[in-house]
This record gives sequence, structure tokens and C-alpha cells, in this order.
Amino acid sequence: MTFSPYNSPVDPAMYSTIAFFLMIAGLGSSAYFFVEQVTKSKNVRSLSRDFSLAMISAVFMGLGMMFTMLTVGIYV
Amino acid sequence: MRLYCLLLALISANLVNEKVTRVFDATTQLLKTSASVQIRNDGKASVSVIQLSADAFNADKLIFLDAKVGNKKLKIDGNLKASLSSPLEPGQTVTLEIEEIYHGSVKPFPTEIKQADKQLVLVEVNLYYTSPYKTETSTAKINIGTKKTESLSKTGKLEGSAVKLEEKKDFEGGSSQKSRVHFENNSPFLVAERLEREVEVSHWGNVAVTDKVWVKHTGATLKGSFSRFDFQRQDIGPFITEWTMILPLVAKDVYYRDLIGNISTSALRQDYRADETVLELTPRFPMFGGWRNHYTIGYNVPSATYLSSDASKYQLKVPATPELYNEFIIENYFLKFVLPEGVTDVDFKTNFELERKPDESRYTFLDTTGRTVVVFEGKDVSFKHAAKIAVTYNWNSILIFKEPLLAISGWAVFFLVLLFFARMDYSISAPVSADKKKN
Repeated sequence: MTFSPYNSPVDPAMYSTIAFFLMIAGLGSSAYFFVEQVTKSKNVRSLSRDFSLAMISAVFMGLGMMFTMLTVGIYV
Repeated sequence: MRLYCLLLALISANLVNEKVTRVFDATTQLLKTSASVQIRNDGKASVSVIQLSADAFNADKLIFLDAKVGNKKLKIDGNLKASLSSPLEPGQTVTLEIEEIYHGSVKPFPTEIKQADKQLVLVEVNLYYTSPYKTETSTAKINIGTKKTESLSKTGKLEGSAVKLEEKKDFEGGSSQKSRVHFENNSPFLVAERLEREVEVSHWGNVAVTDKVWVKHTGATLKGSFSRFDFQRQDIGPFITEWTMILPLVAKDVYYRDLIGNISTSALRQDYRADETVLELTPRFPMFGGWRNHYTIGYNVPSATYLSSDASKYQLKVPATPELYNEFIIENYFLKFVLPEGVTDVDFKTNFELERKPDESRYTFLDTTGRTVVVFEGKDVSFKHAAKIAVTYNWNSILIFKEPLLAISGWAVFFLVLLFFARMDYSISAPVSADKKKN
């Protein structure tokens, strides 16, 4: 059994950069989603478009939140 | 004395200590012995086990014993029986280099002193070499670090900063006579009464180590009051103002805090030549005899330093104790490993005595089933043990996705709930009908 040093799947030096861009994307798409929900009238909105936008926002916000935690030292 | 009778009963081999030279070091809180013993086999059979023994008057205070032949360390069992690598033939001699450390043998006497007094200590050793075998020549020297003594047994003579004990010839095994030295010793008598170490492993590339330390000054207790004004004019004394802790070279985000908060009186620097990080700690208050202190040191280390893997098997090799200060002594030792979620088949290996307690569970950020906490307890660990521990476990690498997926699903639930509520009809009046009467 030969053990080799374990490294993170993502380079820890990149955590802050990745977190930054993911959060920008996440907050941007979340904001777009919220604004769309409150401004557009009901008959114009389509469920599939709203749903896909919600999922994209969730992915970016989720990953952004996790990498932000890793950046500040909460190694989850 | 009981140990003595046991030693006498164990004389099975006809060995003779030809020449014994002992050097004691009593300049710090520990009594260190370095002995060179030349043993001759006077029997008719070859011998491969030699019975060693601790100093007759300090046997219960022994914390470390090591024997070497040339450069090779001998295996010593719990009864201080040393096994030779090659048996000693009749008529042959072998030279053992024995190192012993005693904690509690350098006794403060008087046991209570005032702030301005100097600390005097008492050291009692056996004039003869403690051994179940006969000895032909034995010499001993005690280094005390000062050029004068308060009192000295008649069997010793002060030479420079060492006490030379009388040379003894041709005495039987089990001979003992107390030789005592009473002298001044202002070295720091610092003992860590309790150490709680926690090692948290994250497969995102980090190992977080936290050390909670409870220390005590075990020298002569302070009698009377403490005057800060007098202390500011004191240069030398048995008080402890600072000590140095050694951390791994790659340690980062080091913090030094206690119950009140961060302690800023410290200095951290990296020593690349010695491959370590040096942390010079100054506690909030100086420590006098009998005083205690408590602090927490924590730092992060990249996972590659301690964690290694082979497919789905992981191994975490960690020094079991931090280097708390120079020649540290820990009385009660607690160790916890917080392993990631989904870990199975935990096993461990140590090079010192450690007891494993039942596993615990910890719930922290992005946890569902709880992290396995492996708990260990130990007693009387000192710097000489060079204590190391290796923990192995199995972990499926697909589980790295659990945390991002948990975060994403949390946000997805949030957005979907919002979407649901945004599509509900909240109007309280009937909708305006299309067939409004045209006026």
C-alpha cells in the first residue's frame, strides 16, 4: 500500500477567485430572477423559463456560498 | 524499596558492572541521567537480557528510560529489561549508554517562598549505581548549574558547578545510600496539567489543529502577596514570563487566545533552517509558584502535510502532542480527530501508550449525518516520547460532492418556494370581468 499526499480536488489558492466569480454569477442571476418575478405580469411568464432560471441561480449561489466558506477558513 | 526487592529477586544472570560513570543534570525541573555502563558476563551461559533499574530513591518518578549499545537502541519492556541485539558471550563485555529522565525528583525546598526569594531545590540520588548486579567501579557527578550549594552530603564535593560524588568500588547489587544536594535553581518549573488536542480533517485540503493547554508552575509556591511594582524591578527569579512553542513550518492562520479573547503578546516567525515555525508566547501575567494558566493555540495546515491516500483508504499521520515548550511534560492528555462525514473502518497506530474511547458525533457546517469524532486519552506524555499517531480510515471520494449538492439544493428549495408564492393569486376583489358594460 503506497500512500501519496492527499490534495484537494480544487487548488486551495484558487478558492477566493472561484468564490468571487461564482458569487457574482449567483447574485446576478438571482437578482434577475427576483426582478422578473415582481415586474412581469402573470400571462407573460413561462414556468419552464422561470424554473430553469431558478435552478441556475441555485447552482451558482450554492457553489458560491460553499467556496466562500472555504475561502474564509470554514473548511467544510 | 518494594521495587528493590523485586530487582534482587530477578538476579538470574551472573553479570558484573565493570565500570559505571553517571552524569546527572539537575539544572532544570527534570533530573536527567546519562550513564555509561560496561557490563561483563561472568557466567557460563550467554546472556541476551539485562535488568536495568531506575535510581533507588527516584524510581517512582521515572518518565523515560532509554538504553543504547553503540548507536543502536535496545528494546526495553515494562519491567526495565533490556534485550540485547546479539547475546553477550561469557567473558565478553558490552557498554550500554543509558538515558533516564525523572520528573518530580528536583523538589523545591522550602516549598513556599516569598516573591523576592530565590528558589532552592533538593535532589536526592543513590550514591551507588542502582543495579541488581555487582559493580566494580562507580563514579557519579551531578551538574547543578551554580557554584554554591546550601547543603551537601558528606559523600559529595563541589567542583565548579557540579557535585562530584565519591567513587565507590566493589559493591553488591542493591546497595543504596542517599546523597543529597540542596541548591538554587531558578529554571522554569512549568508543567502542562492538561492538554486537549483536536485535529479536524477536511477533504477540501485543510487540517485544522486546536490545542487547549492548562499549565501550572510546579516550583515553590508563592507565599504572601504579589506586588507588580516589585516584580517590574525583578530581573531573575523562579517566575515564568514567556516560553516558546514550536509549530509545523507550513502552519498558517495561527491564533493564540483564551477565555477573554485574543492575546497579542506573542511573536511568530518561520525558521526555514530548522524547518519549523517558532511561536514565542508571553502569557497575560507572569507565573509564580502554584499559579495556573489556560490558553488555546490553533492553526491550519495544508492537508498534504498530514493526510495521504491510496484509492479510498486514507492515512492521517500527526504528531500526537505539540511542542508546547522546551522539555514539556503533559499530565493528562486528550486527543480528538474530527473526520469527514461518511468515514468507515477507523483504525490507529501509536508509538506511545494511548487509550481509545467511544466515538462521538459532531454536527457542523453542511453536515447531515454527523462527523465521526475519534477520541483518545493518555497520561504522562513528555517531550522524550516524540509521540506520533497514525489514523487510517476509508472514505468514498464521490462523497466530496455531497456538500456542494447540499448547498445547491438548499438554494433550489428557496427559489422554488419563491416561484410558487409568486404564482399564487393574492387579489381580494373579483377580477374585472371582460364584459364591462360599455357606456
